[in-house]
Amino acid sequence: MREKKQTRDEDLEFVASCQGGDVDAFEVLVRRHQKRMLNIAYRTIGNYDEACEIVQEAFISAYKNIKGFKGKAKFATWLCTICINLSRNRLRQLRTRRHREAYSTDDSIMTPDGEIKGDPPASGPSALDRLEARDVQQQVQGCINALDAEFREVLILRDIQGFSYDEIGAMLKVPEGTVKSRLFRAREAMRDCLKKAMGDL
Amino acid sequence: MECSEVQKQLSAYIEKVLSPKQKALIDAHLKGCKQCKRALADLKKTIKYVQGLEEVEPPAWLAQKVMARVRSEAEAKRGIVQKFFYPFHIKLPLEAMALIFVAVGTIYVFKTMQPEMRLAQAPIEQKESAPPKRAPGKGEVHDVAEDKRTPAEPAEQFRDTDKEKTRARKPVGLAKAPVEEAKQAEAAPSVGAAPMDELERGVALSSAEFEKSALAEQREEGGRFVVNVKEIEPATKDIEGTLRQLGGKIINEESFANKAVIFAEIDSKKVGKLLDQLKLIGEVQGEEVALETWEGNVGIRIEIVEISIRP
Repeated sequence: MREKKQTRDEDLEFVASCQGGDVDAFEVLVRRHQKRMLNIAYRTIGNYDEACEIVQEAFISAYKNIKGFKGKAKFATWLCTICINLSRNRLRQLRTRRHREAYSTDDSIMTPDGEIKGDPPASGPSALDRLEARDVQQQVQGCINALDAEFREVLILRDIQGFSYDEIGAMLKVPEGTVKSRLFRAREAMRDCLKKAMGDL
Repeated sequence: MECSEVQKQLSAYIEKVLSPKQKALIDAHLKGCKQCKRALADLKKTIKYVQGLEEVEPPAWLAQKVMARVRSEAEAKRGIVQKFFYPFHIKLPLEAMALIFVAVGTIYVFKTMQPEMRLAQAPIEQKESAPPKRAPGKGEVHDVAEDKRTPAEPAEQFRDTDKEKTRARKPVGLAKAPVEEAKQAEAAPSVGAAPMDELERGVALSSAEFEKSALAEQREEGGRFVVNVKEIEPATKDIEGTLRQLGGKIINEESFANKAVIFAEIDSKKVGKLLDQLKLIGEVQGEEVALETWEGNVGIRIEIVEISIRP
């Protein structure tokens, strides 16, 4: 699933046309990147409809600011940065709205010091039944949802989207070392969360 | 190496970002520690789970919706641009045409009104410069450009020729004025910046003054005469002969079914004689105009009409 350098400079000619006012060229870019954008947004937010909204906003924002894209980074990276930022903002909005409400009684919550305070009933009798493929997916997503935004972003960008450390560093505007340490902590938190959620891995 | 320490570095170990020395230490520890081995396995599984998350497919409407919004955005942008350039696109030709129309109209109006304007200008012109000039030599020719003198001079004139000025404003003064001004115009027919100036002044004139100047124009034309004769052809020849005799110049001749028209130029002083001659040829109808004061040639129009048709 890791997609290493999926898009190269082949975006640039369309970006250039776009900057020259060619709307159709932008459609090519939209169709090319929408899936990746949606998956980033979806894994960050954990809600499909919200993710679709965010992807729309991200593309509109990208179109409006396309003249500001100077080609320093890859276009895909630039797009993902927009998507990540919008997702983060949306997440913050949703969190304030939910007002410290837990995402799910089954999910664990990660406190700032990285400790997981799982809900004891999570490992109830139905745990085994939930070990269906579809449930596993839900559990994993639930644990991602339980992560703090900064860990979540790194985990999604690295383990799901397969960006390199320096690409992630550029997107999140943090040093590469920070990316790594966040990633490792995110994985450990995920392991602990999944263990709690599914009993045994 | 302690287990907790090893477990902290397991992620880095998986990512293979550890130094060879640290890697060797962890490798050694993992061989003998079941707990850490299990932790490593769990971590690897976790990563697999995360990586194993299925990708979601974007709905078909997503790209369409995005593009619809982008297109309306682009449309709005173009709309602003169009609005901005609208006056240039549409109005520029209009403005150009209007300008040309005004220019052509101005030239046309000026050309048709020119003589009147020059004459009509006279009273004002007189006020400014003519009075002192008129005193020493009545027929003295002076340039229009001369009128542009230092401001001190007119002030002086104001004192000196106060009476004359008031006269100049009266109709009596006006009667003289057009004649003199016309002389000026003939002597110095400068068609440059001055006519524009005249035009402006002319517009300011009252209707009474305008009538006067219109009268003056007729004089300049010399006169229109209608000569009623029995037969056109011999009469026309006679008139032509008379004109030549008096030193006149025939400009144009037009002949119609029962009339002929001669346009000629003749010395103003000889118009009277011509009139006398015309009376010998036929019955003359026409404006009696006094042209004694006129100098130079004037244009006249002689219409020869056959009277034999009439009973």
